[in-house]
Amino acid sequence: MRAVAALAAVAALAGGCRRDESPAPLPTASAKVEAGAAAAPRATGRELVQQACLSCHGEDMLVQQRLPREKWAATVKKMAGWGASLEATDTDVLVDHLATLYGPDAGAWDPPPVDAKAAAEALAPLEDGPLSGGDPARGRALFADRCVSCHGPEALGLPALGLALVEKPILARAPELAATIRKGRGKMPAMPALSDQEIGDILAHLRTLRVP
Amino acid sequence: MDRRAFLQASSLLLAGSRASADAPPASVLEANLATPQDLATPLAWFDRELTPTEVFFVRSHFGPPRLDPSRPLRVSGLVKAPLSLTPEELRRALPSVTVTAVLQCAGNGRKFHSPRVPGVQWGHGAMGQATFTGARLRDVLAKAGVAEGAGFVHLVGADLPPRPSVPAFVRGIPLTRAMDPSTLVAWEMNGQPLSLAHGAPLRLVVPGWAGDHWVKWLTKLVVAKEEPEGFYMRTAYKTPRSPVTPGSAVKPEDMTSLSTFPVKSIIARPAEGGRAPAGIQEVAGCAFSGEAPIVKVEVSTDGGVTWSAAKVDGKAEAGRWQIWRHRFEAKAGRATAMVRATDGKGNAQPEKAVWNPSGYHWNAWHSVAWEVA
Repeated sequence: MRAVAALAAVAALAGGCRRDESPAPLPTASAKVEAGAAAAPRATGRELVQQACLSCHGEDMLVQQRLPREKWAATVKKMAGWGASLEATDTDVLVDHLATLYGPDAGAWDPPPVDAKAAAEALAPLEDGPLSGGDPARGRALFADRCVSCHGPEALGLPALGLALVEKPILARAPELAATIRKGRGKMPAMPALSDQEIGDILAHLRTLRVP
Repeated sequence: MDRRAFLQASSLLLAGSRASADAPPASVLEANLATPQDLATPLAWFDRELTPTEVFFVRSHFGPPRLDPSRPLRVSGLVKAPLSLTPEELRRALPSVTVTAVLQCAGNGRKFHSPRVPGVQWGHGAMGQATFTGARLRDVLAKAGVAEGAGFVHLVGADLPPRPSVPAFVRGIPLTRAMDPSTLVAWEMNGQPLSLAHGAPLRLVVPGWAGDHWVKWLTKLVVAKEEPEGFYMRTAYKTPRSPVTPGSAVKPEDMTSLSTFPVKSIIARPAEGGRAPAGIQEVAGCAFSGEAPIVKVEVSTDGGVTWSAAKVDGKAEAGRWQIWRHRFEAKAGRATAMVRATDGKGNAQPEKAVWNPSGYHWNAWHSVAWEVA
């Protein structure tokens, strides 16, 4: 189990972002966790985790917690206040899901080993390839048309919607950006029809923006 | 920096670290969180003075911004002449200084607090020691000219939160700490340019203080009368002024901001649950305090009944770790070792860490057990 988790972590780091793929089954801390999961409203809770939690951080952040229900409730409330994509009516389902899987008695969790080189690779720039040489002016117009409603006019993100893109490392990893745009991610719709030229233009525009 | 340069820099770091130590442990980290990266250094690395950069723990709230070697550092607020300097301009303008210091996340050891508290569930690995080279923060501030009424320096990195509804990670340090000659705006770590994960191109270095003050990807210094507003100053990184019942809620007015980390020692080897041949056993690790130099490291191999002074090597300095070793003879069976340290202000490492709502500053006596065959 540990070896499998380690490989998964290495793959996740080496491959960068896997969040545009359908979620893998949850790593479980113990048989007790498995038993608890079966009793919880798993499908709905699972979807809420995907939508509200995983747009900003990896699932490992949840899996390693060991909190009673009231602490999970406080954490979810804090994250909702910070703009997590979660309707108030869904809060209890999400809290129950988390408290059932990652309560105080859920057993030991140890972080999986990751090769140091793979960890560095996950942040390293990738070649732009067919996305190189984009035109920032065309990209600005495309961004205004296709992206602004969720990512905001300055690409700083919007509450419960798109994430900030300004000076994010994915702008140095063009193939990952293209894959995310074409496949979609979480609430973000897939835009498979955008050409390399168009995505290259959007990328060129985003690269002109600076942290305020 | 393009991909080739980025990876070349990484392999240089790798080569440098390999040459410096006898039989170094494997070049792996422990992934508490893959996205954004929160990576811990394995315990086995804590028996040497410097932790190689490639296995040096990584922590941030929002992940790094893109690598921009020329991202300027701006100095504003209560200053006579606001500044904007690229890292290269900073290097040319000011004398460079190198310090050796422990960098430790405030939440290191959080998973050992009971009852458990939310946050990254660090074991022992959210710490390391490195050399850091840069300009003294007081020289940077002097260049801008600190104006009357200044009390704090606000520290802002380029790591944007994922959405504007998430509070930005902004920390502040009192002007007195900013003016301490050991406080640096650093561009090198272990003799190489900072890696992106460790804050390139510029990060703050505050020896003796918890890692939350060592702001990475530093882009703004704002001199102000008061400390910054915001979640990461007013709510987070606070601990009760006096010990509370574990698990209890603490009123905001009874909390105080973190600063120095407390006295601590850790056993790097032998590893918990390992095996060793009968005969002489060597126990080794590091000891440090943010408050004062270490004056004593003691080891018990009989469950705390008796304690022996360990041999301690390295320079004694607040915020810097020293390596300790202790040898003893063990027959076949289960062997144990436990360590505790005392600093020059008389702070003794406690048998049990003081519980606090955010799980900061775990520093209980560390013990390991292994099989002697």
